[in-house]
Amino acid sequence: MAEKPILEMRGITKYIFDSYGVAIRNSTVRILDKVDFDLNRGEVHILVGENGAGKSTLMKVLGGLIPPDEGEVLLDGKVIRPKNAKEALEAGIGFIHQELNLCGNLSVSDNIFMGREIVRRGVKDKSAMRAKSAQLLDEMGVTNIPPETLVKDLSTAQQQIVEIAKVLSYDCRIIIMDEPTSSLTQREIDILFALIDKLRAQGVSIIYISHRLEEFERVGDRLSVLRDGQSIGTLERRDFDVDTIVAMMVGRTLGAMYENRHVPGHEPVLEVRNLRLEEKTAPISMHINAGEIVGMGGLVGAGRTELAKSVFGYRKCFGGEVFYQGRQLKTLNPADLIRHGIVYLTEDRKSEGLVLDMDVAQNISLASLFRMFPRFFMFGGKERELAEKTVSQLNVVCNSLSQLVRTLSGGNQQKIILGKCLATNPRLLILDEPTRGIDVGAKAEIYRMIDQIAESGVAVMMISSDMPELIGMSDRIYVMRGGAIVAEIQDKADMTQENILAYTIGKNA
Amino acid sequence: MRLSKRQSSIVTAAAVIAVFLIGGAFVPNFLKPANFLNVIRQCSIIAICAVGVTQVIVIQGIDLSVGGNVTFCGMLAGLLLGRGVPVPAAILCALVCGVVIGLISGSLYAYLEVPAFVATLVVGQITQGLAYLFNNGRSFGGFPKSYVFLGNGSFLGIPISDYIMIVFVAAGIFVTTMLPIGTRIYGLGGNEQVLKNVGIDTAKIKLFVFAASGFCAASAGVLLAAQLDTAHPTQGEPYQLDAIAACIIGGVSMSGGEGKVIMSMVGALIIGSIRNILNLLAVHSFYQNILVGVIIIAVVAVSMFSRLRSESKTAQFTVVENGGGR
Repeated sequence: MAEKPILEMRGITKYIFDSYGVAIRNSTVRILDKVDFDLNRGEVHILVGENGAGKSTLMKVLGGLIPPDEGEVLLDGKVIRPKNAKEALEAGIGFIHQELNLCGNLSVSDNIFMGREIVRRGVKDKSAMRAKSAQLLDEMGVTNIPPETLVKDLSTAQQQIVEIAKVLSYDCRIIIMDEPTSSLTQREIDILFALIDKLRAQGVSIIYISHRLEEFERVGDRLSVLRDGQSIGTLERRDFDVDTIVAMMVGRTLGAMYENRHVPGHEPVLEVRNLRLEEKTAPISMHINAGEIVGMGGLVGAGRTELAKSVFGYRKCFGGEVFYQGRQLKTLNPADLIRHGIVYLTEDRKSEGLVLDMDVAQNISLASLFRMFPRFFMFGGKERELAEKTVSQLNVVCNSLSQLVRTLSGGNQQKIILGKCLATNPRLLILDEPTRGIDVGAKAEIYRMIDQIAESGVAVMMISSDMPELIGMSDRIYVMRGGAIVAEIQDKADMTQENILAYTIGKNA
Repeated sequence: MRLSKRQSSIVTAAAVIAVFLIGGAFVPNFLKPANFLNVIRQCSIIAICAVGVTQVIVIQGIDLSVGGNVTFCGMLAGLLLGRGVPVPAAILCALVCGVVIGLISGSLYAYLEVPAFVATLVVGQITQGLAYLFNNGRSFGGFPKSYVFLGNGSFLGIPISDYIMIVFVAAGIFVTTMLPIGTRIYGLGGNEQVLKNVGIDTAKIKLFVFAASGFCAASAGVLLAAQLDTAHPTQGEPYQLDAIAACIIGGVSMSGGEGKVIMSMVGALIIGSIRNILNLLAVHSFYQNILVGVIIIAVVAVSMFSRLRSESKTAQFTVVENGGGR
């Protein structure tokens, strides 16, 4: 450790911002709170943390995608402030995103040289670009990707290799990899790891974001943990240990927000038998009883939302049966299911949950128009009556019922979606991240409401990435990973953050 | 299964042959030399428009101002010629106007982020309206000989119009395949964010593409007026549909990023031949439009269907080897 680190990030702070993008500095909640991070030459530094811990935000700051509110980034001891991805690239920092950052309809060499095409007498010098691409790939030890192939004809792993080649062509010495293995098969992962070893030997430094325990020891030199926007600590390779890492990742305490009064019943409302989300994923079986709140734990992308959407008929599934109140549901589609009393509250309130340019009353009545106005004509009075009831019941803060939903705060928008779902008189309520991105006060009110709903005998399925919420609200918890349920936790005593986290990141039971 | 590029080229080429065989077998006069020259002369207008429209569709846009632009620039050339402006100056003036029209819809699209169909539809309507004003809704005619020769003359037995078409198609191929901006045009249609991430000003590319389409439409308008020896305020209208149809039949993907200029020219040949066959069979132009519309729907439906089927198969999860166990 005599060498000076190639990269240092000091005191990076990012405040939460309002709907106009203006930083709210006086809030106690921060996305990043004085985070320090450093990277040595030729090391793989792993960054871990729960969803929303601030990993992605920190890396976006480094990659020039968002500016920090406070703090500085030092590269080779000099302060840099990349304003966009291009400036970061030119400074030598390449970002390999989780989602594909290539043009699938172009060839490998066209992608590598996008924006810096080699030109001879005004005309693209294709052969030179191909030769250079081949050379780049060759240096990486990759020989099975011809530079003239279209990117969309490559496998996901090969596409990632092309992205790495593109980044290396900018002479990047630092590569950020955001969950690079999340869509790779085991064989492809091996290829990627071999490449990482090679890059490390060449002196390239890699920041590796991952949730997979088994990968840490395989590729990592050091490991840093972020939690709630703060750096918790950094471990050397010899100290890598599941229990230590998990203990660092968790740590929030449960408040008094979860005073539940509902008592779970015994007759099942929803029963899923051997449902497959994809052709090759393991079958899922689960059930939810009346008056029961069942939590769905797991990482984003583990298949929780997909399971909810499959049950709700938004999404295709590959075999399996769904029983609702003892009867098998043959064809699943949202319109019918709402009439039967199943309703799904989406995780994406702005694009799937609300019509932002309609007013409060219209949004609330939207899902239950079929019930309120069965005879084709609509009457404003009845709609307002429902809206008034909902607004007072859920304590929505709005100027009037005709205020546009776009102008409301996140918490109030969330309450309106919940109100919309409740207006359908559901027997089964599927909640997907019901408190994402809203303040503590609104959270507490939504928890109280969910408790009341369960008390009235409604079965509730609650997908949540917020551990305290998951533990505090649930009567039972299923943990999902890789499109399948990997654990069912029935005993309240076993519902610890450590326990759930261990299942989510792949410790075998 | 989705058709590969080569397969779809073969299908399109087969369609050309099929159209010609069917036309030759059932329609008297279709394959006679005089008619054949007529067909390829008419096709040149569609093909020149399609060169520009292809690139607009590749960047996920659409150009609905082609019809208005063709009319407007033809009328403008007619107006200037009528006032005694020399032929080259009148043509140049019309072409510059076409580029400006393209730049207007391009700016709306690139800088104000107006959806392409709105921007170009409006610009197309305005140019169409202005074209009526040039001569109070009447046409211009009686152009100088040199101008008419451009449309109806021939060299080595092939119409001048088709030489011009070949120049446009060749230029289109050159720009899209040999120049850096060509790669960026296709890249823009594939994934705009990638270009932005490496610091490319994508608005400029959009502007270029719309200006190029405006230039193509203006050239087609000038050439059409020369072919007909008339500039009439409705004569550009059918080329709107035909230019888009040519692109779609030629395999340009409406979702962007895919399509070749040369194949759009082949598409133009197919559309032009179908129109000619229907003319020879004395089918009224009303019915012709219905048929062309149906052909577009059929081609789009087939390509979307094969796309949907291929997309539904892509997997989202990695498989957990020991998943499902409790």
